[in-house]
Formats: sequence, structure tokens, C-alpha cells
Amino acid sequence: MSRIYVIVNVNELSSLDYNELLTTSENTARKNLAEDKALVSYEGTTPSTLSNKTKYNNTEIQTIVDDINNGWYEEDEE
Amino acid sequence: MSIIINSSKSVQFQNPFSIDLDGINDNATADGIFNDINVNTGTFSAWIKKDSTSSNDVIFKFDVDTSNQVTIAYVNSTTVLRYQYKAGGTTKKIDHSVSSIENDGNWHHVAITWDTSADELKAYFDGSQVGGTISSLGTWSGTVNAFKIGMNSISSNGFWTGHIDQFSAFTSIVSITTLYNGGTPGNLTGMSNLIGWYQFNEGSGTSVIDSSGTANTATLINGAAFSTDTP
Repeated sequence: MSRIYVIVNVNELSSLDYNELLTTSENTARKNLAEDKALVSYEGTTPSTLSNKTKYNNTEIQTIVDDINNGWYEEDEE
Repeated sequence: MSIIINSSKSVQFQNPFSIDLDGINDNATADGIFNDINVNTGTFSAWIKKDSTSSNDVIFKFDVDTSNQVTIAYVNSTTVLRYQYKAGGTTKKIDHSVSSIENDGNWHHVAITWDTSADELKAYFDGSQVGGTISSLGTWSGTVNAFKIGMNSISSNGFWTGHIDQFSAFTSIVSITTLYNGGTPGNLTGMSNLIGWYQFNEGSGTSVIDSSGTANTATLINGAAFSTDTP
């Protein structure tokens, strides 16, 4: 079963049911550098709270978060 | 009739699983290890298998803040493994070129040692010291408050793409011969100053036993999964 990734607004994290997600908790969800967006993932049935969101597979989300222009990482991580 | 139990027979070392991290958000944490880390003397070691990536990937990092941290990470832009000890804002690092490590299909061993009394930082790759011995280490300030396997402990990035196995942490300098063990993970049971040993042998769930005996249990985060691919 392949994993599905979804980008949500940070203020939506508190309304998600983490029993339906692979994401452990609101605190562990990956945030972008601006910390206004977060990334969650699941396998199988799409949680109803994410039904209207764009879904990405591993390759697609990797392309997004690894593009330095998208604001998910900095080149210098010292 | 009497039954004789041979209580001296040792348990055979086994390594059935590693962890497979997606490079997106998977990682492992062990909060209990904070208080046991010796920021002045230590050895951290792991077996790694690298999938392809287009960003920097952290094998482990612990820190107080951006000025006081220890890490081994893969730097994508220069295809090096970076072994870094940063204390009091003074960065000391060893960059070891590993241009063919991505998707090479092989497991590799990495280890870092630091000793402020001897004023030495050393790095090891596949059983050999690399990059020479670095001196003039800074003075550490503060108490460690974050430790991550497979991501940056300071910010939400640096997620490792690939496998990690047999992660161990010591509060002393440990011989690379012992850790590399001829290219196969070895049994660390009973070793002195071992404060964390994550074998990832559970195969299911999210809790990882600390085999060091210090009970610094680790937790798999955000869907990090066990894998039967092992060194």
C-alpha cells in the first residue's frame, strides 16, 4: 500500500484525527520554513478532513519539498 | 531424572530489521537520551544505506541550539558526508566525499568521535578514519534538549532518504575496529559507556527498544517503517 501525502495549513493540524494518519501528531508534522503549511501522510482510506486536498505520491511530494524555491528547506542547515 | 539448564549460553546476535525513512517526514527520536549524552566526549555510530536525494539528509543530530550541536549529515550539493562538532559557536567539521553513495545498493558504516580533553574530532567511514584529526574544538554551552535520528533536530528538515540500522551512542571514545566489526554489525552487549543502542529489530509498531540497558526507548515518527533490508 503506497503512502499519500497532503499539504495543509498549519491551523488545520489541530482538527485532524491522527488515528487516521501516519503522521504521529500535530507537533511532529513537518512544517515549511514559514511555518504556515504542514505535511501529513496516510495509507488507505482518505480521511474525510483531507478529501478536498491535493494528494501527492512520494515522488511528487519529494519534488516539492526538495525544491529550495518552495520554502521547505534551507541549503545551509548548520 | 534431573534437568540441567545451561545458564551461561549467550543469546545469538541477530539483525532482522532496519528502518526505512522516506526523506519527507519520517524520523526517530529518543528524548530520554538527552541527560546521558556527554557533550565533551563521545562516539556515535550507525549503519546507513542511501537512496537518491536532492536535498541535505541528516543521519543524526543532537543540540542545545544552533551554536551547540553534533551531527553527521549528507550534503547533497557537494556529495559529502559532513561530521560536525559545533560548540560555543565554533564549527569544526570533516567533509568526506561520497560521490557514489546514492543508490549504490550498499550499506555503509559511519561514526564520529569527539574528545575535548584531547581536543580531537574524528570521522570514520566504512571502518577507516577520514579527513584527519581536527583540533581547536569550541567550548560547549547548555544542556542537550533535542536528539533526532533521520532529521535535523533544530528545524523541520534534513529528512533522511534511505535506511538506518544499529545506531549506537557512547559517552567515551570507542575503537572503530569494534564498531565496524569487519563490515558487519556486531554485538555491543555489555560495552562500557553505551547510553543508546537502537537495533530496530522490532519489525512492527513505533517503539524501539534501547538495547544499551539505559532504557532510553526510541519512537518512530510520522510513519517510519521497519525493513528487512539489513547490513
